[in-house]
Amino acid sequence: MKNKLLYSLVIFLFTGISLPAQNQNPFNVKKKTTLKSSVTAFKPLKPIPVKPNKSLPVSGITYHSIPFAPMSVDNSKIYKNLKFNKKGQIIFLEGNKKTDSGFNPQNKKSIEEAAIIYLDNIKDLINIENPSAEFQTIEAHNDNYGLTHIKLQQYYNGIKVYGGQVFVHGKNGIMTKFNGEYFPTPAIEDLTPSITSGQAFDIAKADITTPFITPTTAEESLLDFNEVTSELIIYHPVFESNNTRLTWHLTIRPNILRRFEYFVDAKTGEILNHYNNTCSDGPATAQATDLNGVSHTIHTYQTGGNYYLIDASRPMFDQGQSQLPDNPVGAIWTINANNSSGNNLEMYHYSSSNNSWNNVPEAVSAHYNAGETYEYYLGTHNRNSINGQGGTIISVCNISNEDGTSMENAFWNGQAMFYGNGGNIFSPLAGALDVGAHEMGHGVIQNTCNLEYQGESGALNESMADISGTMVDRDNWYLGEDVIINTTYYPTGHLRDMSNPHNGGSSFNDPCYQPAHISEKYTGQQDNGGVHINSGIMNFAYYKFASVITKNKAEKIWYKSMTDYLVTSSQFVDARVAFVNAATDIYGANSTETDAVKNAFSEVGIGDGGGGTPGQGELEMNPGQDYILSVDVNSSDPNTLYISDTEATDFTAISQTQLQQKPSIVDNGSVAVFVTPENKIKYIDLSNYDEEYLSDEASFDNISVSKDGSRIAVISNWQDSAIWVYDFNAQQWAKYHLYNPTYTPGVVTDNVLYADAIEWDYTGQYIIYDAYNKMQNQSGQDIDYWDVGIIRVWNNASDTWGDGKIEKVFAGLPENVSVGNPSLSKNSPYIIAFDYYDSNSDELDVMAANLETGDVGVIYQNTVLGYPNYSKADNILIFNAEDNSGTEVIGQIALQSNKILPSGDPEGLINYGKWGVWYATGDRELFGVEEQSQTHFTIYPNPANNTLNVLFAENIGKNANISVVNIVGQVVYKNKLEPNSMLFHIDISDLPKGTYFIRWNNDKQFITEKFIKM
Amino acid sequence: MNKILPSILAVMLLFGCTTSQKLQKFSKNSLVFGSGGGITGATTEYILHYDGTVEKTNSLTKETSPVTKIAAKNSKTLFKEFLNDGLDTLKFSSPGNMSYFVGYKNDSVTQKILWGGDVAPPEKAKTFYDKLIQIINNL
Repeated sequence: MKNKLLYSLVIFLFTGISLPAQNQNPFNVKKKTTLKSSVTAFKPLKPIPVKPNKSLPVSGITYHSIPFAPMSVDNSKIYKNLKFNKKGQIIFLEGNKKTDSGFNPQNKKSIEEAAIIYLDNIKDLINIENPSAEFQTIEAHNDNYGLTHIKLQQYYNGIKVYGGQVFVHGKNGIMTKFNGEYFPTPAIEDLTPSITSGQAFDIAKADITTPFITPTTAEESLLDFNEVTSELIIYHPVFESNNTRLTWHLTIRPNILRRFEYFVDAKTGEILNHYNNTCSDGPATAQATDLNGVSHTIHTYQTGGNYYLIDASRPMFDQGQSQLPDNPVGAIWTINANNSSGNNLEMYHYSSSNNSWNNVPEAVSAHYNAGETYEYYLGTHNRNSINGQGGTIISVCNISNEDGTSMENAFWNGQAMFYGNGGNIFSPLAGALDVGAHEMGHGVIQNTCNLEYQGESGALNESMADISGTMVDRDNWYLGEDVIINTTYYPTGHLRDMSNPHNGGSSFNDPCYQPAHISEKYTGQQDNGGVHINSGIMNFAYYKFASVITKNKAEKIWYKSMTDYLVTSSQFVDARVAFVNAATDIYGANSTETDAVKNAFSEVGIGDGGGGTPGQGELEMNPGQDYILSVDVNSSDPNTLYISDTEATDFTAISQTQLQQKPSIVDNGSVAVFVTPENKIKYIDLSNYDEEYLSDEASFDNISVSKDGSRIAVISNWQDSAIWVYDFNAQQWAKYHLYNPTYTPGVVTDNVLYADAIEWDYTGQYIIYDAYNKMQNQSGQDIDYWDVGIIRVWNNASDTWGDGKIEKVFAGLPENVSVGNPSLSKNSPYIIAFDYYDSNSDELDVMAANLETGDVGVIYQNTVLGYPNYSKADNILIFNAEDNSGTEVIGQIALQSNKILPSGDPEGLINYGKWGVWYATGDRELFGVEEQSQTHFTIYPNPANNTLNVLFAENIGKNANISVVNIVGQVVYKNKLEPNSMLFHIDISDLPKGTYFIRWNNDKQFITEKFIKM
Repeated sequence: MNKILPSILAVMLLFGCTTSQKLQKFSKNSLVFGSGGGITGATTEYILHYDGTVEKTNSLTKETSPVTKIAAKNSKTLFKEFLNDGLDTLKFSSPGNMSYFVGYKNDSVTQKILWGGDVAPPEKAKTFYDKLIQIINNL
């Protein structure tokens, strides 16, 4: 009798159950021994009793290959919170791949060794070839919170790499975090200078206009004066990774008051960079009055006899990289646009010879408010500036409209905050702290979740910025109340009111009005789909739960949602998920705080999901009751096939016929088909469990029935490089020869011996299959492997046989890897789960791939082939596994919303079971998207150094985008393509060396190709 | 004051290209251009009519007011250029916190090329926008 397993599969995952022994390829169980047959055709078949579908498929999607680039355990599953700089380099990550980076906090050598091991573990991510040779400790210390920090300097062949400094951080004796700026291992061979340091000094000296005055002996002695010091370094002008120069770094003091830093190319003598590093200048403070007549202490900077609105007093300020006053790094900088705008934008320093600022109150307000907001993010969220990395905060005042009139607005343009001077409705916008915090909030959003600025994600963007405004200026729930001077349009005197989104208005005709509930949501096209309008719904939800749990707690949830959960395309329902999970992380799943968040979202009509329309290419979920059909392996039980509920608590035996392979079921669950050990085909009517032979020819090894039941595909029981397809309507068989496509047009290779696992797609046009291949590698050695392909066997448009075109799921499998037993997601026909085996490492995994995005995830490390199968909602994957005693069981594991990664621990589900098929008994429209044709493109050169060319084979159509993604899935380049263009150039000179993917998509297609950056 | 040229100017310099050839009667249509967003969400839209009159609307005040009138032949040239550049059929939308747009509308259709976000607009759209802005700059 069947029973449910109660233990967690994870127990045997990590407690020493051995993986398959070397060379015992688990895929061997799929091999066939019968070489050939005299059969050349099969007999016609009688129809099977399929319950008619509500809607038959009429068209379909096109499948295409993706690179095999798993989001491996080493990267995405272990290292998290990866942050990148503009060059696409990782500048922060946390997590630990191995425990051997443990250390003794009291032993500096132990700390240093652990840090190097940590860097070695991530060296592929940071493009450092040999961390132990390329990093040296600068200092290490333990702080008051039990954390250990070690700072390291980058070197190359013993020469300092200027600007290359990183931290490794540890806790409880384990290194867990990395951050810093560095350069990929330099590609520079000749490290012998062509000019001496003295010649470099002569070159720099000639460039310095300041008089050189030899100090007196006393001055020299007192000030430890050296006219010049020099150091040979590896320098990257403007920090470009690809521009590597052997350089003399000179510190020159022409007299006792002045100091200059010069960087002179040690090969050519070219002055690469220089700046005035004179120490007599520096941060200053001033007392100044803002737009509201309030006097503040503001931070300014003195240099060259002038004072500037540059706040260099914060911990983020980087004196070494700053070129003051024109290029401060890590400062708060306020600039005067002098009533210019657009293409005529002119920007000037605010400067003063006596550090007096009372004539520029708008600048005082902007400068002070930027400082307040900076301190809020640093003090409350430990966020160091807008970009989290101490980036300069820029405010631009006196921006005008393009017709020269005064701007009644303030905005964030992606790099800076801009403030207009108001007019009839608003006073100068810089005068409100919440306005400044709102705009800086946009910057934080851009650098965290980067919510797309249209539709619901745009409304979330606006709301997150409003929350920023009201958390910094936290005495009320209003926005802009300090700058409204005319209540004609805002009768309450508030631009927005998070506690009352209607804000004195009654409809969308009122500028002050926002919806307070999802039922009031604006659905028009204005305002990018209502980004400033529908933000009221999220605002109200935030207000509601913050009022219950306090602002102090709510702001932690808000910030964590932005940094850890929300993504670019997040919608309202994602916001609920984000805020609930953030609350759970901080306060616990059953906490008052988490409940308050849930209640607040529910009260504004943002539910727990469900009921929404599926995305493009998605299927509606089968509305029927779901069950699991499984094969019993208990030799003492005469029953072979069971149907159970999905909790595996109630089993019904439906057959005692042995099965040769995994059964196949139509989408509405009315009929199952399978092959018997005698190689004959049977079907079972699942409404009454009647069982009949579909074919009594003893010639079959596997069968799959199309989702609508109109066709079957079979694999013969001999080594036959074909898939046979029978159409019940046409009452005809068709034989499709399997081959391996190549990347040379018109060239295919005949190294497919036979297929084994087969499954129809949801259109009834394609069959996804695995096949056994034998060939010679480039060294002339015989190799064999299993691969997954997709063959088009039917054409819905013409309602006839398909052209047999084959696409491999993975372009370029590693030589030692086999993949097989593919199975489609129940609702996302571009996602497949499959078995993976690496013969080098003996690693056997259940994996899944998204054929649209190219993402590949590891779901479960297995000991047997998993034959995975998705649940009705795609939130669970079931698969073959073994328990601690080696008994065959069906396991299950919850999935993340991306359907290709796990979200929890695996556990046993059905004892003595295998080949589970999760199905449901409802009717649904199987597919309804328009026919698509695939657009091909070629990238060259590959590998590439500076420019990558993308040549399309045909017109790319409209709304096409192209992006470059690095190996950890981070988009490092994105652009819109022009309609009708066929050739596109991408500047990749700033990208670090490594493997990347080009992703191209338009409204209908999503194609990925791999390239190498040299 | 010391004039400076920080890198934030670069965001104002936008790139792209498009090609399309089409001419048609356009006399009842208007070219629209302007910007909007920011903390207020307000949009200022300029409307260039075929006869050369230019109006300005504000989404906050909902007021429409005359701005100027350019020579009809100059207006026709702009309309012709708009069509020759294929801007009537070019679909591009990359909004930012402050977005800029150029497009056309008639009684039944409004089409706008919108930018201000991460992705630079087609160069021809930005160039044409700049030409239109010159009209109001020279007032």
